[in-house]
Amino acid sequence: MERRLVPVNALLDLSLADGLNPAPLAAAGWQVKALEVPVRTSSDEVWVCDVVLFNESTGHLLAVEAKSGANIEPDQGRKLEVVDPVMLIEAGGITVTRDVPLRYEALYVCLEEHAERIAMGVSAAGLAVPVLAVGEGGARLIDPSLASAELVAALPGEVAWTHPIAEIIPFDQDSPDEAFDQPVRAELAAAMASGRSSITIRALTEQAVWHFAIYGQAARGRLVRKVRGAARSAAQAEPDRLRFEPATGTTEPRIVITRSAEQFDRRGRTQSYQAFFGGRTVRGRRPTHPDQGDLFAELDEAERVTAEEMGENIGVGSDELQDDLDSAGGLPPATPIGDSADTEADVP
Amino acid sequence: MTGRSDLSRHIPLNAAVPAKTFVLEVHAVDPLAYLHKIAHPFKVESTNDVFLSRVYTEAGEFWVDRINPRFWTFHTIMPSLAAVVWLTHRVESRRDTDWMWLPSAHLRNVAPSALPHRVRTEFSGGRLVSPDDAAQDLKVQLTGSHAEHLLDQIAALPQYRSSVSFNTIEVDLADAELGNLRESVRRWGAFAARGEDFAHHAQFVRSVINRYQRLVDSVEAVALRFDPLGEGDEVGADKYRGASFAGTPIGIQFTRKISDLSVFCEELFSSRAPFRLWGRPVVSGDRAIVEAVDLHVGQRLTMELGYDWMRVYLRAGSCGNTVARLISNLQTRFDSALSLLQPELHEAVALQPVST
Repeated sequence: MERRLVPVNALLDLSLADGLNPAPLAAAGWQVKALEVPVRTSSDEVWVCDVVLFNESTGHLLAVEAKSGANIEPDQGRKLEVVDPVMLIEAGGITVTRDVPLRYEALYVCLEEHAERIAMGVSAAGLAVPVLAVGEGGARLIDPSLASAELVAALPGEVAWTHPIAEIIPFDQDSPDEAFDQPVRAELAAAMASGRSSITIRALTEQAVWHFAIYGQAARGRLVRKVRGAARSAAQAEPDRLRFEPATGTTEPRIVITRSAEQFDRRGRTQSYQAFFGGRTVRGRRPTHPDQGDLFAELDEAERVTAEEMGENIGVGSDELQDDLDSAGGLPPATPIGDSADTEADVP
Repeated sequence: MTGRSDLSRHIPLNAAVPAKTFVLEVHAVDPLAYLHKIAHPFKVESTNDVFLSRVYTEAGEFWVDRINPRFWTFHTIMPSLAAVVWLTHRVESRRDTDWMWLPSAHLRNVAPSALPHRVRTEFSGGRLVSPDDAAQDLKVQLTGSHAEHLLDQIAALPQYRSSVSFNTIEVDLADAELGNLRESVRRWGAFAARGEDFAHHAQFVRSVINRYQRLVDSVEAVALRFDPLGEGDEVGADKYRGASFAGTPIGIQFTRKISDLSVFCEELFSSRAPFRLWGRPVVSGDRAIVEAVDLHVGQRLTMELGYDWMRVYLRAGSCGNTVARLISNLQTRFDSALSLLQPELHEAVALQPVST
């Protein structure tokens, strides 16, 4: 993950209980409600809040400004201090499920290496906004005296990461071009698997960038351009299967799937997907060594045929329900019937 | 014309050939039209019940019940092989139809009031499990009263607990009103039954489906959702207001360690059955991340792996069956004792609360 995206993702991870990293904000009752929400402040200015958390039980709103760098903007800081909680509820379209007094608290989240400087900036600007520092090992409040009792109770000391930080926002419009390659290529594979013959760059962007909805027009435009670049690159990497078609007077730019893996039979299809974007060399069938093979099962078939000829009732139509389904192969039909480039692993 | 009450006559449970029911998960806007489409060129006949249709194939007939619009049941007395081949062709050739992939615990506890009579576990570690592991492959079949107890004993041994994955269970149910019933259930949603009353069988199948549907619904409930708060999509009129957010990644904990993350990922994302996941994993140190595609349904999901954990990012609108299938197949191929870390999901998979 890019370093500048660590603060926002760390804050989200602390709030989403996936069971891997600790989620003390979730445990304290806060839920992530909205992202990138423009809210009108009490000073009649607009501030775009990066993450809005709401505790339905206590009515406590947490408005987060994620800083990727080492500086705060005092003007912005003053905006985020003066937000009416009702205004934020309106802006975030948040459903209030309990009749409790609404409270508002702002929070800066930054990288550990910038925490001291950010805290100094907060102090110099005369702001009373707590700072959450995110490091390699964990996250901690820099000056708990600036935070509410509830926030301090949720984050009493350093929260240690037990796993990598979840990547809810894995990239954005400022990410390097390469960051778009994998999601775009995966979406092209998905389009192929779905039997689509083409996909517009606009549709591809909305598919590849799951969080597309959080961005404004300018950022969306940049994302579309990034995805278009990744799509062009994908078409160049797979010229026999994909073609990039620029916009014309009547059509949007798009990727055309000229040769789909879906046109092959099952084995050919698997091989075709394995070769898509050439990440993996398709293994041929391994030569049989005299010592290889399933010796354990070597005589099974002979034994079965012999038993049948001797009139032993072992197969279809027996009284046993299990044998009846056994005659159908006994395993998920998608599994055993040779849907594999290397059937050795799949056929039981 | 016939109706639901006639099914017991058409699908007798006391004939020489057992009655079979197969469950398919279907995404269809117009279910009846979709049934005609997948049955083509075979004839589909309506009945008095709007959800019940009769499909004639070259090998016999299916009675298709769409009363649950997402999980259809295909009842038949035709030979299993013919039935499965016919259905497999339908499932394999489409991206909006799949089997019902039961987690091991859904088989182990298929009917709490029933007496397990026969059980089979199948675990095939293949390339996902180290050859040095105490149990790379483990297949056990036992017939006898409470046959599941032996497998519980094996699973209690630490070196084998990751390798006891229920594949098939056969149970006896006796009910004063509904009569006796013997059911054999496979992990991909296939049932064979013999007994006295079709309604008893139908209700048994329905209870298994309902339990499985709760799992699929629970998975879909935590899918990541970013919904625009405004109408920021309009060109030239930036009414952008940010987006609401809901969902969480799905955390999975393994009880055995992945011995080689690169090899594991290469196998898991090889596009091969049973996982049928396409992806180009990026392995870095003790972590791998991959933008994967579930080729069963043609949908992308992001996955992150460590040596003993996995994180699955599912997008809202994606099919929860993708995760159910992943769990069922991981239980059969890597770790039968894996657990989902969110309490609701854990309970939906393991059918018991998180142990404290």
